[in-house]
This record gives sequence, C-alpha cells and structure tokens, in this order.
Amino acid sequence: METGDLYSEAGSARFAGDGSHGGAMDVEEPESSARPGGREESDEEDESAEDDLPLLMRAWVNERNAPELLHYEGTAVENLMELVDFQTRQIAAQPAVVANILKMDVDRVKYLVRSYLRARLAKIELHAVHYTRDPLYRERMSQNELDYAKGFVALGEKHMRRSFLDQLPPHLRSLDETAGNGMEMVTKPDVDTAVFCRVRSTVGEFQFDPSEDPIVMRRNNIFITRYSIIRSLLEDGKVELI
Amino acid sequence: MAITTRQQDGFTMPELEYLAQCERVAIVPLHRMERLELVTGTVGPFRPPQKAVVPLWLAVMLKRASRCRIVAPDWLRYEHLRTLCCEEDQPDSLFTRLPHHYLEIAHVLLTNAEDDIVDAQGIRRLLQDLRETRQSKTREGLKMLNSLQLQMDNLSAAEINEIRPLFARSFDMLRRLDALAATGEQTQRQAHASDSHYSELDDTFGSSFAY
Repeated sequence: METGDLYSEAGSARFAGDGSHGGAMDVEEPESSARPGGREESDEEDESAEDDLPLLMRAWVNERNAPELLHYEGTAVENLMELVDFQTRQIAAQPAVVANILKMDVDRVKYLVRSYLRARLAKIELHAVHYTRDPLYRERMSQNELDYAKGFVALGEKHMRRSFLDQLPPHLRSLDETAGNGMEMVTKPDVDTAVFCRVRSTVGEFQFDPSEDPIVMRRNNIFITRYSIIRSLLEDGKVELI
Repeated sequence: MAITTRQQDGFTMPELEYLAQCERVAIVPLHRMERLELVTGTVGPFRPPQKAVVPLWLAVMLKRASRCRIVAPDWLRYEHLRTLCCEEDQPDSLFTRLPHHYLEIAHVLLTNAEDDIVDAQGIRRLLQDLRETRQSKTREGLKMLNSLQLQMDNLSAAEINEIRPLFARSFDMLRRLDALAATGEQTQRQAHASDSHYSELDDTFGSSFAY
C-alpha cells in the first residue's frame, strides 16, 4: 500500500523523527535549573517523586510487553526532550572528551523516547479503529497520536472504499459489523495474553482466580500470567512487565 | 510500520543490552575530571584513585578511551559464581539470586574490560555452566505451566526474553484449550440431553416395531 507507507513514514517522522520535537511539546518554558537528580544507589523504588527517566524507561518496557495501549507518559517525554535540548546546546562549549560523553548521554535518551513512541504507534496502527472509538483509549493517547490514529483509520477506509467497497451492494459496505458468531470486524487487543511481570512493591495476598487460593505477591517475585489479571496492579504501579 | 515484527515479540538483544547499560558500576578513573551533569543523572567528580559509580555505558566509553579501570561487580567473581553454580545444581532448588541483567552486564564487561576481570576465562566458563543449568531448569518449569499463573522468581531479563515466545504461546494455547474444554463440556451436556431424548424416541419406535 503505497499511500499507507507514505503516511506512516510521515507519522513516525512527526513523532520520533530526529529527536527534535514538534510544536505540541513546546508547552512550557525550558527550566534550565530543573533537571532530574542522580538516581539513588539503593534499589528502593520511591513512589512519590520518581525521576522522569526511570519512569519512562519502565513505561517503555511496559508498553512493549502489554497487549493494549497504556497511559501516555506525556510529562516525562516533554521534560526529557527539554533536557535533551538544553544539553545539546551545552555540548559545543565543552572539551572533546566531555562533549562525547554528553552526546552519548543525549543520544541514549533520544533513543528511549523514539522507541517508546514507535512502540505506541505500532499498537495504534494495529487496532486503530477500536482505539479511536473507545473513550478509555482516546484519553490514553496524546493529541498527536490521536490525530495520527484518526488519519490512519480514514486512510484505510478510503483505500477499501476505492478499491472494492464502492462496487459492492450498499448493505455489504460497512467496515464495523459483528457477525452472528460474535466475530467482529473491528479488532480489539486480546487482554488475556500471557505477560511476564515483576512485583515492585509487596501486594500481599492476591487472588489470581476466584476458584483458586490466593498467592502472596512479594517484591521482586516474577510471574507469568494473563494480562487481564494483573491489569489493575500495573495501573497502580505495583507490578511492572518485563 | 512503526517497529519491526521481530520487536513486537519481546526485546532484541541490543535492546536488552541498552537496558543493562543503564545499571551502575564502580570505576577507578585514571584522569581527573569534573562533575558531569547528565540527563541520566549526575556523575563524578573523578579524582583518581578514588572510585566513582557511573552507568555502565559511561564506564565502557571511558574504558575504551583508557580513562578508567572498571571494578568488576561482586557477583562477577570466580568464587561467587562457583558457589552459585553449586547451588543452582541442587535438585529441586529455586533459581539463585542474580542481577536482573546479569548476562548482559557480564557480556558487556567481558568484551570491553576483559583485563579488569580476574580469571575472565574461568568466569566465562562458569557463566556458561550457570546459564545452561538455569536453562534446563526453565525447561522443567514448562511442565508446570497452567493457564492461570506460574511463579518464576529471579529469572533474569535475557532468560525471560528467551523463553517468552515458547512460554507465552503455550500459555495462550492452554488458555484457549481450557475455554474450549469448558464450552465442550456444555455442548456435551446438551448433546447428552438430546441423546436421551432420541433414545426415548428410539424406544418408542423399537417398541412399535416389536409389536
């Protein structure tokens, strides 16, 4: 599909192009003093004031493993891109050794942001129609992503219509029917897919299934289970996908 | 396509290495350098021969420029790994505790800072042993897989990524079979009910024939 390829290329350039971010992200003035402090050396995860970087790192890993689209970490992305801009401006004034380090540092953050946004785009493309219709998911997308999803849906429909739907009888033209056996034309993410998760803060006894005995979930325990079972724990940040 | 199909199924090895390189290691700097404010956190100041703690990627960068020595982490020592190997080999033992990215970190250190590690060859061999023991244990674990949950503590990122396709697919297949079994039972019950209905009819026919 030629048009489709063109569009997705434009889309990914808009979201994740060369790290220079689009207009929507320039909401706040860059604060030169605000920078994420060094990470604590203990492996205690602090819930209240987490740095943007570890947060986005985890969001990226979660996003890559979860079957459905997750909440968009917009603030973290914006803050990090501001920092990247700030750092990039510093590089020129530094001696070569330091400049190399700063550049590597900035590149690593850019890579993370890019991969995060790409992972989300891939998911949006997979179930675009469903995500644009369901208010839950609409809320989880950034404005840019929502525009992209809508554009993607419109483009797909236009393509179908032009290539064959317009030649069919009118009652066969719809793209969102549900067949008698429950098969839907609008695909949804399968929330029962298997995921690996690690417990971040002790949950205590947790009922995996109403008919089974509860299992104690302690910090650092690892489970393979259905995504739907631990979905709420993931939203609360009690577990992370790995 | 926003990401490749390979990436939709877990992580690639370079991606795991990227994650591992965010972990921190101790270095002994060989040159003085001031504090550095990085997006990934503040590092330094570097005052040889005082140790400093930096992200792994920075340690490797400095090492390549011969600006530091990397202090191998405690778990990457021969004796420690040998104890772990013995523990791992015990029948019915659980997985031993290792850093979440132990394979990746070990790989990065062994390729980039071999001269900073005592008995690198021996450590390579032990890591290989450890890995193989753990792999066979994981395969044993596949037997216990059900369609609800399975606990597998201390499995590392690379190991999980390795078993992800097999385990996740088996898990999903079990789930589907369970669902089928449930509906199957239902239809069987219905079928049974209608069967008895038929047999009643048969009886009437049979009896009519007999007369």
